[in-house]
This record gives sequence, structure tokens and C-alpha cells, in this order.
Amino acid sequence: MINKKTTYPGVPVIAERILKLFSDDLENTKSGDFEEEYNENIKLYGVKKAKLLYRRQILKSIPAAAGQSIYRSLIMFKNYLRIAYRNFANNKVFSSINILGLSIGMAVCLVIIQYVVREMSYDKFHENGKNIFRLRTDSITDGKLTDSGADCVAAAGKAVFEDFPEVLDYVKLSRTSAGGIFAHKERKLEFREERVYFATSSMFNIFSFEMLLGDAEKALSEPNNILISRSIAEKYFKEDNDPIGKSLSFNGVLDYSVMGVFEDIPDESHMKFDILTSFPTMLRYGDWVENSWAYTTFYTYLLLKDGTDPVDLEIRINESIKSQVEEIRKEWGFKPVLKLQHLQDIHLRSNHVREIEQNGDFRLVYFMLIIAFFVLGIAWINYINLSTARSLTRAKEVGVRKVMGAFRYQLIKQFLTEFMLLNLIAAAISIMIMQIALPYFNAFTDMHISFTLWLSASFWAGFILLILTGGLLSGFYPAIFLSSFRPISILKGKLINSVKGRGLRKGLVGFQFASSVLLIICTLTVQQQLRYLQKKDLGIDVEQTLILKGATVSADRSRETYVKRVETFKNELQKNPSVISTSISNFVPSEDVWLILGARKVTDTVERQKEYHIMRVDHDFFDLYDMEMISGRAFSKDFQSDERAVIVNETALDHLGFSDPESALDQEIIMKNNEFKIIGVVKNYNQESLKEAFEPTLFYLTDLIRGRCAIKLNTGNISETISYIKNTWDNYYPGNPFDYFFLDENYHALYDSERQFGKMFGLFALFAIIIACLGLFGLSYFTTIQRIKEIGIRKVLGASEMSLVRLLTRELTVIIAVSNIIAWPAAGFLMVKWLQEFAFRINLSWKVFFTGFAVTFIIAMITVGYQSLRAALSNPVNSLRHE
Amino acid sequence: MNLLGRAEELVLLAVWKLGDDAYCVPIKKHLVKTTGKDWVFGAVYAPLERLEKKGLLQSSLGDPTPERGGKRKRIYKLTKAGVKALIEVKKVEKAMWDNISEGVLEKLL
Repeated sequence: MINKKTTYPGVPVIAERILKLFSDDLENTKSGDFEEEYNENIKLYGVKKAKLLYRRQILKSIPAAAGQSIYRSLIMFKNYLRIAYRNFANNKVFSSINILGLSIGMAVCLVIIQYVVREMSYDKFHENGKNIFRLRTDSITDGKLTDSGADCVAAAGKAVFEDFPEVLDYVKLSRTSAGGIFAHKERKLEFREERVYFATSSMFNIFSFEMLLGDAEKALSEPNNILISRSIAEKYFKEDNDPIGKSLSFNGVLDYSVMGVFEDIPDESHMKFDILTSFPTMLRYGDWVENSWAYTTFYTYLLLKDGTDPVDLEIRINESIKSQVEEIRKEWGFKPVLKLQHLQDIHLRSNHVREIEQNGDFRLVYFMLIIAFFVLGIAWINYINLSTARSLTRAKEVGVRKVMGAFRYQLIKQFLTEFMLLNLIAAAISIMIMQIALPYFNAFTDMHISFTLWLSASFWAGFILLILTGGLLSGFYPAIFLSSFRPISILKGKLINSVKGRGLRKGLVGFQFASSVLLIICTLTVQQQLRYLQKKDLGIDVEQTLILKGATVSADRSRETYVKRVETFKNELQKNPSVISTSISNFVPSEDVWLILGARKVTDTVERQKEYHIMRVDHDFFDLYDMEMISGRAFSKDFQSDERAVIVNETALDHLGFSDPESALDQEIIMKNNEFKIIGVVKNYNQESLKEAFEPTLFYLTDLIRGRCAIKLNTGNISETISYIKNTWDNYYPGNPFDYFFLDENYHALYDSERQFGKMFGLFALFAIIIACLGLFGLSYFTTIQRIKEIGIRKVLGASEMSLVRLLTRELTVIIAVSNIIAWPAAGFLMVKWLQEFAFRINLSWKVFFTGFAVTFIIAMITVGYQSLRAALSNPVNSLRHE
Repeated sequence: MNLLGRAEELVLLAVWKLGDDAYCVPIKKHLVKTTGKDWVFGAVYAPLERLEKKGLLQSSLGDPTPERGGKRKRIYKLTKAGVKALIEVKKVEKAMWDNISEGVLEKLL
């Protein structure tokens, strides 16, 4: 051995390491080559230059060497793939269970991810998004929160903008009386437009909605201008390319000039509008729309300076409006409190009254993510269980590979490669499943999910990352497990201890069952609550009731002719034998009552004033809906004095401070500075969805209503009756579109989102259970095969079939029992949380929990029992004769 | 038989010419000298290993020397197949250059 150090200066250390890293230089012949040249160069050029040349030589050699080593690992990889393929092909049960389960799981996951991404992307497209806040108003009466609106008092936006320099801009929107009949006179096109708002001039400066034509800021600062969306432009102006400067008539009384066209509002916006009317137009209702601190219904958004602390600003804003608040409290009895709310929190985290549209709920999003996790997790667990359970079949392969010189890490690499391959196949299939099944899914759940994510690179990155991490996590244990076998004991033919890994398998099966039980209980409870919502007695009759949206275009210029026309119209309808009765009111049941006024007993001071929902109705209202009067009477034409009478509901009775229905009769209350006499108390009924508690409501008589006309029909020929009503309508109210809906359907529609949730939940739970069953089937299949000799011997020794089946299923019974005990409290907790959303709800029933147990138990017994029975019935000769 | 790559051809020829002393350092030196290009070891190992895999070369471990830091040489030798491959190369080369008289290409410049 020659000591090189004494003869020659050493080679650069780092460079030498790199060389070792990239080459498979077992006998050091290569580093010898490098060193030889290095030593020669020292003689020629000196040490310094020689070192430089040595390093350069190595760095330049890397590409070639790396190419070689990748090539080498590819050869091995090819072998892994080949073995994987043979394994899949040989074990069709194993591979199909895994691939089927995984691809269903991934497809469910994809749908949920798509849903979640859509829910999370609301209002994210605004450039100023992170600095836009909604200013809204809470009303505090008597120290209690009596109203928490998504909207804001009229004067607040401008005042805050002027007083605080960090508020860069504001916009105020209102839909009060903004919608109605828009008509293109020359073309005789008239439609009812409901997504219409008055808007101040900064609308398009704050929000990044896209203007196509016209100057929004200028248009919105002058009265009687409107901006319309692209689809509205196409609807009214068709091939006319330039609608700018054209006019549309509004309710037959005003002419609006179209001053701009904007792109249709994207779905992912919490506010969607078709037409914007310039805010100055609204001034014709009075200057309160500018400076009232009492009237809400104005949606107000602020653009804040970068880095403003909204919490601090909110405190200072409320500090600055103290004097106005005090005035309001003296006059109206409540204190407005201004609140700031981040724009991007609105869709998922805001649930106030008078929201612009029904918002989503972040809890549902989390629910969905949990399901996605369960479904995919269950599928991955299948792989862990099945691959460890059938380890015997791979044991010989592992033994031979080890004898041939495979290192353990190479075996791990091999098994992981195999699992990754399985995952990739499943991912590809899942995308196909998704493409095929999505239309059916959308039809079933009434959702509009489209698989748009595949266009986004970040989605692919995330999806691949998910598969890789999940795949690694779930593939790692089987890989470690399988590669741990000792070649000697395997190849000697010694039986491998199959107890190994059984504890973990039991635990994982338990997890699968627990999640299935949880999902079953949740699904059933959600369904029960939904059924309850639809079946519960509302306190009123909503069947066979057709609701006409009122006439807003009217030729009547005086109150008398208007009232007269309503009266004769109703009489005309009554002439048809199918029409039982008709009634006109500002709101019909199932609608959100947004008209709210303060009222109090005559004897009370203004501080005791509270807010009440206001229903303006006609004489036939209580009769048509078959409402029950607890005391007193309904409005009647026999009493002229009913003009100044009011009917209250039970909750209002309570709020006004009456102890019982009888004592309230003939008492007076003050509303809008007028005195009204209570003539009756009506039993509470569900005006709004069952999520809401009964609201205190006052009913008073009016004949000037542009709201809704309810028509009660008998079960005759509905379509004939409707065409009769339409003819009558066209005669009496020309220029008004004939729009109607059925009351029971409207009630039904209140729970659309719950129904959607219930359906999605049920569907995904079903998939989770199917995947879990697949896994269980596979597991019992493999374990029974492994115990087939044991069964044979037991049978020969005289065990009965039944006792064998019991033996094979005993363990599972324990697992199911334990997993139920774990799942029950979790499911109970989740469902109590969910049910709290509803003012009217079912109690959690023990039957649901028992069903969860029964379903899992029965399914498991069928799956495993079938295998066990087959094994128990088989002839022991077949399984034993080979020994 | 597949035709050899250019690098493989050069390396194979160099191994044959160097005879008993054909390990990487002299091979590289020879290549640098004949081609006038700078060769790195990595670019020599790759064709050497490929040729060995194809069975045109076989290698054996030589003696360690002090200037190699006590490390051994890997010495390459042509197999019969290697010699045949060289003959084949020569044949193809000759056929390709046949009928092209000296200096014809230079005239084109």
C-alpha cells in the first residue's frame, strides 16, 4: 500500500465527493484516472492550476455521468413496472379493488375540490379586493341586538368617506324600488327586471367589474341614467350594436337613458346585477336617501388605504357618529352601530338579514372537505390493508430479490413505484369518471359544477402533490412491511407469522367503519331534518295557491281609479269557478319581509319601542291562507274603522308587552306616529324558512298595494284557469308581463341549498361506504385464503360450519362495535352543530345511531360471512391434500 | 449489426491502438491528440461502458500505481466482436469515401 499523501498533494475534497456521488465507481478505477491526470498536471503546471483543471474535469463530466446513472435507474424502473404489471394482472381481485376504490375516491375528491375552490373564489377577482370592506348596520334597542343587517343606513357611507382620510372611496347601492318593468317602446319589448340597483358613481372604480362601453362614473352621477349588462343589451337591443344614448322606459313612468354596457357579472360575485340606475335618480323619493341615519337598505362598500386596520377604524367610525346615533335613539328608539366586514368574507362567513343573495357557508365547505378526506382515506387504507394482508404472496419475491443482492431501500422503492403506478392509473380513471358522471351529478344535486380546474396549473400541482403525499404516506407502511422479510426464513418455506401487522389492520378497518358510521348518521339526520322542513305544519294553507307578481306599470294616476281597478280585477277573477278567493298583500308567506317599522304601546315611552315586520294586507288575506285567529277577529268590510286597526301575531304580542291575547284587544299602539287599535291576534305561522324563528309581525289594512296577488284555486284544470287569469290580467294591466309562481313551490325553494347539501352528503357517504365494503371484501378474501388450511384441519377434526363462520367473523364484530362507539359521539357533535342552524328542528334520534350500527354490521357480515361460509363449506380434502 | 456511434467508434479504435495500456487516461490523451478537441473523462466513460455492454470490449483491473493515489486501473481490451466491429467500420468508411479523389472537398471551400 502506497501512502499517497507523502508523495503527492491531496486532490480537492469536495470535487472528489461529487465524483463519488455521480459514478458507480466501486473499484475506484475512475477516481484513479482523475487523480493520475491531476498528478501529471501538477508536474506540468503546478498545484494551483492542476486543482483547477481537476475540478473542471469533474464538473464537465457530470452531465455524461448523470446520464449514465439515470439510464441505469431507468432499467431498474422498467423492471419494477414490469413486475407491477404482472402483479396487477395476476391478482385481479386485489388490483381491481384498489383501482376501483381509489378512482371513485379521487373522483369524489375532484368534485369536492372543484366545489370548494368555487366557494372560496367568491369576490376574489377584484383588483382592490383585499382593501374593500362592506359597511353594515346593527340596530341596538334597549341594549339588545334587534336587527343585524347586511345593509347600512343611508348617510353613513358618505359621512365616513368625508371624515376619514384612510377611506379612499365609497359606493352605495340600493335595490328599494329599483326593479320593475323595463320596456323598449318601439320594439314592444317589456320584461320584469329584478336584479336592479341604484348605484353611486364610484361603483366601477372600487369593484373590478368590466365596462364594455361608456363612462360609468359620469353616467352614474346624473339622474335617469342606467348602465346595462351585456345580456340585457342583447335582450332589448338585439342586433343594435350601440345602445348608448337609447332609452328604456321604467314602469311606464320614467325614461332612462342607457349610458353604458358592462360585462355580465361573474357567478363568483356575492352581488349580481343586470341594470344599475344612477343614484341621483333615487332622489325623487326624498332626500332621506342621502342623509338619513335611520333608514337602512343601502349596501355600502368602502375602499380603504393599504394597511388600514379595520378593527381600529370601526371603533373610530362609531366614535365619530355619536351625536347622530343619539338623535336616532331619541326619535326611533334604536341605536345604529356601524360594522366593517371584509368583502371576501361575505360569501362564506356572512349571514345577516337582507343579504344581497343567499350566501354560502364555510361550515358546509369544511364538511365537504372532511368527506373528501374520508373517502380518499378509506381508499388508501384499502391498499394498506390488502397489501399487508396478502404479504405471503409477495414474500418469496422479496426473498429472492434479497438473495440476488437487492438492498432494502431498493425494495421499498419498488413497492412505492408499484403503488404510485396504481395511484396514477386511478387518477387517470377518476378524471374520466368525473367527465362522464358530472352532468348526472349536476342534474341530481341541482348544482352547476363544471370541471374547469383542469385548465389551471396550480390545480394539477395540488392534485399531483396530493396523490404523491397521500400515496407516499399510505404506500410507505406496506413497503416497509413487505421489505422487512428475512430471505432465509422465507426461502426455507417457514410460515410467515401472519399475526404481524394485524393490529394495525384492525385499527384501520375500525377507522373505515367509524367513518362510514359517521357518514351514515349524518346523512340520515340531514335527510330527516329536510323531510321535517317540508312536512312541518306551517300554520297556514299554501296548497293550490298561485301568486301573481303585481302590476307596476299602471295607467291609474289617482288613488281612486287604482283601488277601483284592483277591486274589479279581483271580482273578474272570482267569476271563474276554479278561483276560490284572491288576496293582495305586500308580501306573501315564504318571502323575506324587509319592511320593518318601529312600534310601541301607547302607554310606553319611545325608548321601549321595538321593531316589527310589517305586512300590508287586504280583507281576504287571513281567510285565503286559512290563518287561525287566537282572539279577536280578522279585518272585515263591515267595520269602517278597520282603516286604523292592526292585527298582531303571537310574537309581536309578546314584544309589545301584553300578557295574554284577550287583554291586548282594543288596546292602541303607535306606529309611524299614528295610533292603531289591535283588533285581533293571529297564531304564529312560518312566514320565512324554518331556519328563522317567528318574527314579531304587525298586519294592517291597505288597498294601495303593488306587491303580490294571491289566487287560491280548486283542483280543477289548472292550465285552463291560468290562461283565464292571464287574459284577465292583460285586459286590466296592459304593459305588465304576466309573472307568477306557486306558493308551495316557493316554500320548497327556501331549502334548495339544504337539499343540495343533503344530496351531496348522501351521495358521497354512499361512495365512502362502497369503497370501505370493497376493501373489507378484499381483506376477508385474502385472510380466508390464508386460513384455508386451518379451516380444513378444524373441519376434519369435527368443527361445524356454523362454528367456523363464527370463528371467522368474531373479530370483525368486535371491530364494528368499537368503531361505532367511537363514531357516535363525533356524529352527534357534528349534527347538533348543524341542527343549530334551524330555529325549527328535529331531535337527534337514537334510531339513527342504531341504523348506523345495523347497516355497517349487516354489510360487514354479508361481505365477510359470504367468504367465511364459502371457506367453511369447502371440502377439506381440496385444501389439505397438497401437504 | 447496429452501426457504432462516432464517439464509440473513436474510443474503440483508440483502445485497439493503445494495446495493453488501454485505460482511460491514455485513451483520453490519444483522443485529445487525434481529434484536437478537449475531452473530459465523463465523455470517455460513457462510450466505454456502452461498448462493454455491447460486448465489443472487455475490461480487467490493472495494477495500482502511486501517481494514481494507489488506485487501480481499469484496462480495456477488444473482444472478437470488437475487432469485427472495427473491420465493419473500416468497410463502411471505405465504401463511403470510395471514388472521392484527394483534394476534391478542399476545392469546394
